[in-house]
Amino acid sequence: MKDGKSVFVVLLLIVFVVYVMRNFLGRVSAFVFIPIDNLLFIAHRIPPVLMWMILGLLLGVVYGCFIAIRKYKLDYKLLTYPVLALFVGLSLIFLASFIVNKFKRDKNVESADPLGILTIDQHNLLPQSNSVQTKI
Amino acid sequence: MASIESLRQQFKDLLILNHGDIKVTEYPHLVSDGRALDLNLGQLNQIIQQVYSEIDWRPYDLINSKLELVFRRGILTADQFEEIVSLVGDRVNRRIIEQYVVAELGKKNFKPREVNHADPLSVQNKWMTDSVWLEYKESLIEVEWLGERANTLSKLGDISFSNREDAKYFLRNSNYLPGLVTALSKSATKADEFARIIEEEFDSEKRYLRIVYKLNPRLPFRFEEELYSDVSELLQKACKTSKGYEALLESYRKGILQIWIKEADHLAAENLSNQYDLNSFLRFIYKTDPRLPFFIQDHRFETPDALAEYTKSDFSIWPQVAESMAAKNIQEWFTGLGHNDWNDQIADSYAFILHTGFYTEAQIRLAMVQALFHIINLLSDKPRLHVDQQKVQLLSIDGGLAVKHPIHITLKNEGYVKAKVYFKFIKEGISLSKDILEFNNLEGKISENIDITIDTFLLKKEELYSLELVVSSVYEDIIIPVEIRVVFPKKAFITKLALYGSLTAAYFGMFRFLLGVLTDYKGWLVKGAGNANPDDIIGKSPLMSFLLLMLFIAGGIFSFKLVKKYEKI
Repeated sequence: MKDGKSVFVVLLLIVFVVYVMRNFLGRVSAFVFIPIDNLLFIAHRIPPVLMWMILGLLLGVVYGCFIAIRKYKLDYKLLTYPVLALFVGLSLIFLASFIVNKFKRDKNVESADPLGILTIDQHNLLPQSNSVQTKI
Repeated sequence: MASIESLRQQFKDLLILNHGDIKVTEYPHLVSDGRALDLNLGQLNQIIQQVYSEIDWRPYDLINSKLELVFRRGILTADQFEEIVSLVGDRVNRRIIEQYVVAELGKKNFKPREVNHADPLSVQNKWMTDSVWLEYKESLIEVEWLGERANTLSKLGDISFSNREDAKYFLRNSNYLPGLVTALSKSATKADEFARIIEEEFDSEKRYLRIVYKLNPRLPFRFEEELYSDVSELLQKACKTSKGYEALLESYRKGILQIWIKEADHLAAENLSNQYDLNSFLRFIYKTDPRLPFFIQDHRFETPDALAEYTKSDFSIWPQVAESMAAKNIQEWFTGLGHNDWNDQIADSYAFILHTGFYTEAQIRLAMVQALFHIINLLSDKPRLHVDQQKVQLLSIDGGLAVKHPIHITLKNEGYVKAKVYFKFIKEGISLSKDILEFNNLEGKISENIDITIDTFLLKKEELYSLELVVSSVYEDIIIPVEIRVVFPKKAFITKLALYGSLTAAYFGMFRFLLGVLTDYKGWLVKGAGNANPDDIIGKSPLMSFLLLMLFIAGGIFSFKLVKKYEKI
């Protein structure tokens, strides 16, 4: 019973500390999620879930290659190809993002963008548009 | 008036008594009888020649040869006469034999010396010459032995044989019998022979038997409550049952049988040795009579073929047959049968099986029994093996795995055999799960499975390895060509990439989707015109975001451990 109480007290303490440090912990998670989003961002019309899946696919291929090498006792040099594919994929994303950004700055036609490639995704913003407007 | 038949019979009797040499003129009464029948001398001589040619002279030749010894000794005993009767009694009437013998004895000045029969010319009246009769009278000394009278050593033997326990008692020392032997034989040397036996032989039974058969070698041998006078008859009777055989062997081991044989049958005694073991016994009986059966435990085998046939169907007897071969008992039988070549083959087979190196001591014995079948009968089936594959071709084995290829080996017919399985050209990375196989249909061991294990990690990819798998027994070598080539595991490799790529993509996508749900913001967390500050979006639900991050990391670590276990890496 004494141990049970101690555990309970410790848990309670952890919950209390986490609650007190919630803003800090939020910033820690933002420190992970936001850079990845920045890395993968090309255009607002492309859903972030899709780009994360592409990143997952590239990392998964590296992982799968590693598993296959271990399982079938293959040469570790084989890892070169999926790692190269990962870098090529990320580079392409980065390049696409750069091109789109440059195109946006050069044309400066954010509102007149007929295809909506360079504009904010209105669909994504709609549900919280009020709150965002208030904060801005 | 005499008839012609009566005349012919008289001529026949005269011819026999005179060994075929008669002159008719020396018998006037016969000449007179002939004249009464109108026969002149010439015709009578013709009748004599006819009768002579009709007589079978062979029995009389035999009698004459036996009588030669009687003439030299100067005495005819009843036993000698009985021996003559036993020789020719089936062809000549006993009465005629007696008349013939008496007539012959009369020619040699033999006279009847005792009155044992009403007929004074009976052979039972001890016919002797004058000189022998004098010696005989001097030798008529009687002694008392075990309450009976005896006047010869043979009689002493007979009395001892009939009074076994009393004789054994009186033979406990040399105080009694040697004195009687001296009195009867009038020979100190003879008496000393008996005295020595009594003093040297400590076993009372053996002492008794040695004395008895020395006194009278013609006494029968008492075996299993029956009496035997002939060695061959005893052996054949004893070997009719395993019990009799065992009893005979026991008698031999104790040295009792030898005592009788040495005295009674000098010819059979030459087959005896000074040893008391089973092989000496077998050597003796098969030298004496090669047709005698062979015994293993309670089983009786008339011929080697019978032994082989029975053994093929009863595995429980194999250890005993093997033991018999190892102890060279069967070899003694074969020697007796004149099959020394079989014994040579047994020795060669043993050397060959031993040389293989994959038989244990116990298995060598079983293999020798199997070899015995073919030694006895060259045409008998040898145990043959069958492999379920003529050749093994594994030309596209995915690299990085240990592959097992099963091979099924069966015993085609019957028998006991071991086989060694090996690769003629050894290559590291290619091995066998089992290299020694044992087959025996009597134990139900008729098939074996082995695996060719290929460790592809140790083999070069895209290189063809050609080997020969050899299944080798003492009866045959089966060679199976084996070809192995290891290739890059393309399909498996691509499958892994696709599997883990898609799973990781789904994992990432799911967490990004959950982040959108938790923050109630499905857009990009990037700074841009008209866009919300990403820090603020996450700041709306910091705890949930942190929790999601922790879950994302923990899920990655957990899945890695799960994959390691699942993939066995």
